[in-house]
Amino acid sequence: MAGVLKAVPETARRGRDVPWRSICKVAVLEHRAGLASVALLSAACLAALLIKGLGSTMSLAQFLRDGAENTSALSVLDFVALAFPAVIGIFMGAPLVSRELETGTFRFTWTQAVGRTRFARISALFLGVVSAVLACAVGVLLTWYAGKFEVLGIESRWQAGFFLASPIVLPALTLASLAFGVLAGTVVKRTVAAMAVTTVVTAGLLTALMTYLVRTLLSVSPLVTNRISPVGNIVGSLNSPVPSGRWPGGAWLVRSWLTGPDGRQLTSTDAVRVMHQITSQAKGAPSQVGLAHPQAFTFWVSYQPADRFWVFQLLLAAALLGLAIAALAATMRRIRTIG
Amino acid sequence: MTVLETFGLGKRYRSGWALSDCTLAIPAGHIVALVGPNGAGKTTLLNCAVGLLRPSSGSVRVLGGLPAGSPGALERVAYVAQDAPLVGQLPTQEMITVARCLNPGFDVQNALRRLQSLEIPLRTRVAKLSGGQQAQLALTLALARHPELLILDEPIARLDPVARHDFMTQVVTAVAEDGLSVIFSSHVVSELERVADYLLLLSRGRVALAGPIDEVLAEHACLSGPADDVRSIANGFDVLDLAAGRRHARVLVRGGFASGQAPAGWESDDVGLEELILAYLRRSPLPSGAGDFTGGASSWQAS
Repeated sequence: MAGVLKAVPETARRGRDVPWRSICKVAVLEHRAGLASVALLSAACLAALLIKGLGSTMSLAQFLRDGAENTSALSVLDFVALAFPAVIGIFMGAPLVSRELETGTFRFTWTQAVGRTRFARISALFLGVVSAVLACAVGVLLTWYAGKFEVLGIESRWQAGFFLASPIVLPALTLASLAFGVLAGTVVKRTVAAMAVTTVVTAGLLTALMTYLVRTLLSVSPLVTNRISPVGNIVGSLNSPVPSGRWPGGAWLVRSWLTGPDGRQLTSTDAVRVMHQITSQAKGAPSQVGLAHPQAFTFWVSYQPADRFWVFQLLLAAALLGLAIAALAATMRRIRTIG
Repeated sequence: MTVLETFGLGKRYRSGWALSDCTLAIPAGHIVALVGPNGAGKTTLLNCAVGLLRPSSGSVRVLGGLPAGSPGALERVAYVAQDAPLVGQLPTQEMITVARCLNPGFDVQNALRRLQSLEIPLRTRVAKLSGGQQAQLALTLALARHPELLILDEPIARLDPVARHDFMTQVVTAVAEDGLSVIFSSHVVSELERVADYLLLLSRGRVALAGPIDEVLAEHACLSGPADDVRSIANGFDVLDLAAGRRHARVLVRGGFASGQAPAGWESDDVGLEELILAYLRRSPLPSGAGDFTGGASSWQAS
């Protein structure tokens, strides 16, 4: 019997590939509820950003008049923008494969001429492109709206929330979340459980980015100088306010510290004490510290110049895209071996 | 050309082996009745044949040597799974669109014609269709691909007799029109007997019997004779089943008898397919050599 089993070269028999447009059409038919929900959410988000942005002819005077209202609206919109990747991962990524496995329809779709991996790969990529475009649109409008605050020195694009909601990082974050969702669905094989896993993973990623990863990334290879006066907050603050000629505009302060007459860095306690002492002597003018004690203390800052912003954006986006590709590759491998 | 070949095929789940050392070769042009008790490995075998399951051991090839589940095989093999799992939330018409998008050679007109003749509404969601209509829709989508091999896994299990008859008629018509081969798994032996011309019988994960039904039936016979003499039959033949009263015994044996050649004092009758299948299914445990069609020694013991 063994002699009967002569393998026919697969390439010789391989039929026409199913066009990717056809697979995308199936993805639309099968996931139109999720797509419609996400489109509605995006539209609402974009409309809110547009209305707020167009209605706001931001000036310092206006900000001083109703600044709290404006900044809270911005915070809400930033939160919604950052929730966008999670929504995509939970409601579009997680069900993509898990629903097929849970309902048994994979026995239909995976036995059609298209083949299981091509079907899953094109479907995921299609949903990924749609999600990324929507995320980019949200990112563009949010960055535009936040820019009105940035020019006043009230907010900064370097802050974790706005850094993540940019038109470059937000699509990458969305793709990563989508890919995690698809992978979770493939592993867990239950839609609700996959959605729960995706929620935890995406929330964990966002929290890590907001609290640690972005800050850590932005502290890589900063420029260090002692030619800048201590303005604004001393440690880890944004570029505000920006006195002309004193501070490189649009830069991100990574760290600041004081060194004593012996050149050693002061501890934070000593730094606060010295600053308080100098401030008292200078009668509330901390910017005079360098002039008041030019020989005794030196004020240092490390910072990222403005022109590095897009470099860091691309670095983070590339890292997130790498995660997305890794998750998608793991998904395809898993799909190939299911059974 | 063979439509399905397996060599040493085995599939192991956590609970144990569902298929074990399964070797077979089914030639093209048949309607194959795949039968066996629950847990015999029928669905596992069919899932391996369409690439939904990966064998734990051995190999599966279809249509003259294509690896099961490969792109070339998927294009030429259509599968209707148990319970016809279609996308329930889609209307019938969109289900056709899905099938058309996933299969380059899909014949939309063929599908629409069949559905029209079956009076299946196109705008109704698949989940709202009756079980019979869903099975017919699944069959229609499979046939519109014009496959060379159609694999059906218990598609008529939940159908009423009329729907069952209609379904089988569709299958037979398609075979007549397109000349495709069919492997059909079912517990409804009477329906299989009506349409099938090749038998593949699985038991405990192994092939117990395989071959064209005419030949298989010719290889078996029912002997009727005196109950006192039943031991001589048992010693000389491969006994599959025995029904013995005080005076009279009826024995189903492997080995055909031409008219008038039955052992002295015994009469030989033809065996029905259902009777034969039941006899094989009752045999337990299956002899180790049954996997390669030998049938093995009888497990009969004189009572």
